[in-house]
Amino acid sequence: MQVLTQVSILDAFIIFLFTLGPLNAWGSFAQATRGAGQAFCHSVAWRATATATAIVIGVGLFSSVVLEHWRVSVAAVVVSGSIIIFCQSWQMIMKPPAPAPPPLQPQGAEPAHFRTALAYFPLAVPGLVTAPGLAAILVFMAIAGGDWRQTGVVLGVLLVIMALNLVAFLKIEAIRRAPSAVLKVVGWVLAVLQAMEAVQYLVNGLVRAGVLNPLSP
Amino acid sequence: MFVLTQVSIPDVFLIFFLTLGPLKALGPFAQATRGADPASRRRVARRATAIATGIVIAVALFSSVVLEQWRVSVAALVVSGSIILFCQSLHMIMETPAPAPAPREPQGAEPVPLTAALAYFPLAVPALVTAPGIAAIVAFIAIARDDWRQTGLVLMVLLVIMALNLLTLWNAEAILRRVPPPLLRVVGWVMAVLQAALAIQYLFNGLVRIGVLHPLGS
Repeated sequence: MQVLTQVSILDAFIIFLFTLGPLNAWGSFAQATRGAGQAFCHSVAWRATATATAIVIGVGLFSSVVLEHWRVSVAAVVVSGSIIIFCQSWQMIMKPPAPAPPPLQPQGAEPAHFRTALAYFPLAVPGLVTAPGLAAILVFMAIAGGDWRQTGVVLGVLLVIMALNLVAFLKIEAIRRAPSAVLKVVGWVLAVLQAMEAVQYLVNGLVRAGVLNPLSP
Repeated sequence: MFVLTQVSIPDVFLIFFLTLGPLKALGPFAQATRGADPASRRRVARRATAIATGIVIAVALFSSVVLEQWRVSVAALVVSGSIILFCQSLHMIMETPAPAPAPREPQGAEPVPLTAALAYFPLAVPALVTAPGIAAIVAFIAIARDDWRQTGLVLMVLLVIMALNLLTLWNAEAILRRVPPPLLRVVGWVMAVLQAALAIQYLFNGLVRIGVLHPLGS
């Protein structure tokens, strides 16, 4: 059985894409900015992404120091993080597809008063920065250990994901035109895959802890 | 793998801060006392903290006798406590964030009178005294065993945490005015995720005590 001892860019990208990527946030963004002008949408997109980027980078750098100080082993971080990610996937899998939310205002009415505070709540938190996403950051930072090259890989992947979020927000009009059923199906399938990935991480964590034998099939 | 065999002040403080500390009580206190005048809020804060202190000290003094009578081992306490701690963290993480509740009263209305019962529920229990907190007290008292110096350390840290709670509740309004709610939410999540990792570490420690895990696993 393979034990993850190094950060793999692909693994980090997949997990971060599921937990911190645009799939979680573009619905909230589309709903929150419905009826607003393009300049406002762009301003909110930039603010939300910048805030989320600052938070994830801050958490990445701060959490590894805290965990080391608390004497929490990499195995414990991997096991707890994988359970959290699995539970998030499970919640997404079991959630019945909800009908599209009603428009914020009736057709033809005056545009509502939009505030840029939207960028912080609900877009940056909890739209872009999710609790399982924070758990995933902790897992990868713990695996990276004190290796600055690997830490750099994690931070680099986080920046790529945040750039993807920004692009998704800036291109929200194109995404709005996509059939919502397709987006729901894609999200659901990805949740199933994420659950599998989480179980693999749980197994890796248990191997690290010595609960499972690394040589078992 | 690190196994706790003695009560250490940083470990006790950390666990009690996470499970019995002010972070969890700030929101419920602000919500329960919204619209009340500062004097009433302070009275409720004092009463809730006094009740919580009474409960935690009583649990610390009597739980060891009960558990000894029931022949529950330290390992079982550490394992059960860590599972409770993990479940609480998971609950905090998976909870769907709700928008801020609407104010109780319109601007300029008379302040809402606070009932004394508020101090008991939901403030003393479950906001200040949480189930993982009780489990942590019992586990540390079990680790301290009959050593009165170590038991004294646990009781002292409990009193420090309760004093922190009182200070935080007294200044709840000022804190919430300065700290934006999304930031509080992120801090809460980060702490919950870190707490979950710590709980698993304690679970491993408990399993090492039982002999299920090898102490040298990394």
